[in-house]
Amino acid sequence: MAHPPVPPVPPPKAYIDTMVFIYHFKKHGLTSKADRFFKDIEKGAYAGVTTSFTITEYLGVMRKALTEARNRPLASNDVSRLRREIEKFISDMGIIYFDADTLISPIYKLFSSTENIVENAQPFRSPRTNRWYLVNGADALHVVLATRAGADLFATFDDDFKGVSSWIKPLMLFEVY
Amino acid sequence: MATINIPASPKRYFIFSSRDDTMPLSEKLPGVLTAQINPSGYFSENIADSFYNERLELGEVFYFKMPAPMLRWHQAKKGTASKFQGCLSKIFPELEKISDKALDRLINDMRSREE
Repeated sequence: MAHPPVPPVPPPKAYIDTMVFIYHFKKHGLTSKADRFFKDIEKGAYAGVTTSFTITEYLGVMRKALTEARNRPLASNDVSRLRREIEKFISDMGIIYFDADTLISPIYKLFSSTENIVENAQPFRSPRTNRWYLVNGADALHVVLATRAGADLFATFDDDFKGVSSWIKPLMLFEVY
Repeated sequence: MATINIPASPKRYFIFSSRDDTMPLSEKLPGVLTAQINPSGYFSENIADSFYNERLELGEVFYFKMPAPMLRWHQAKKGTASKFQGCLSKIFPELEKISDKALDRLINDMRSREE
């Protein structure tokens, strides 16, 4: 009697941090090391694991990098293109991908709200430092928590929060005091 | 979907519990995910009493379902790593203006508030 085919056993799972994707996608001194790691995943030495929060952080860093490079805010199709690259890569690499919210709670959505803020917050160019500021993943997590806690204002010294007024009014302590 | 046996002591106020499955590797038993159930919360005991769970009091073993990934593991498409190496630098050539040091700063800013 013929036995049914045995499904392949996944190799050891390696959680992949955001910067590994970034160094692989944007030319950098560490790109070749990231590439060798991903080639090992491709050969089956590891099974990659990541979550939607990685995409949030990646979008935060790359939106800011492109805004600084162009010295102007990005168009929405540029952000979509950034997202498409990492999603296609995760899919084609066979990386195990979790919605970060499902790992935390079957009810509450925290990370998807955070992702929405990172994707849509406005960049701000400070006349004080002449640099661009934009919320990143951890910043946006605070914005979600502040709104859920019922706060009316977000008191901070961090210019990254200037662009979150669609969600909560920033109280910029550098300016007020 | 995988199920995991949580060998937790029975506690009464299960509704306010939290799971800690982030134990150091050295404390983990092979193949067993342990969890700590901590009854705690914002509510007074009287309110918590209304969530009394006698099945836990009677020592019943509960099974937690692990959430399923949105994408499951499969063998990578051959050539994917090479195809995507430096992909953003090709799509957005202006990224060349961002030096390694500047990119490292942006990555550090992602997790740290020190500037």
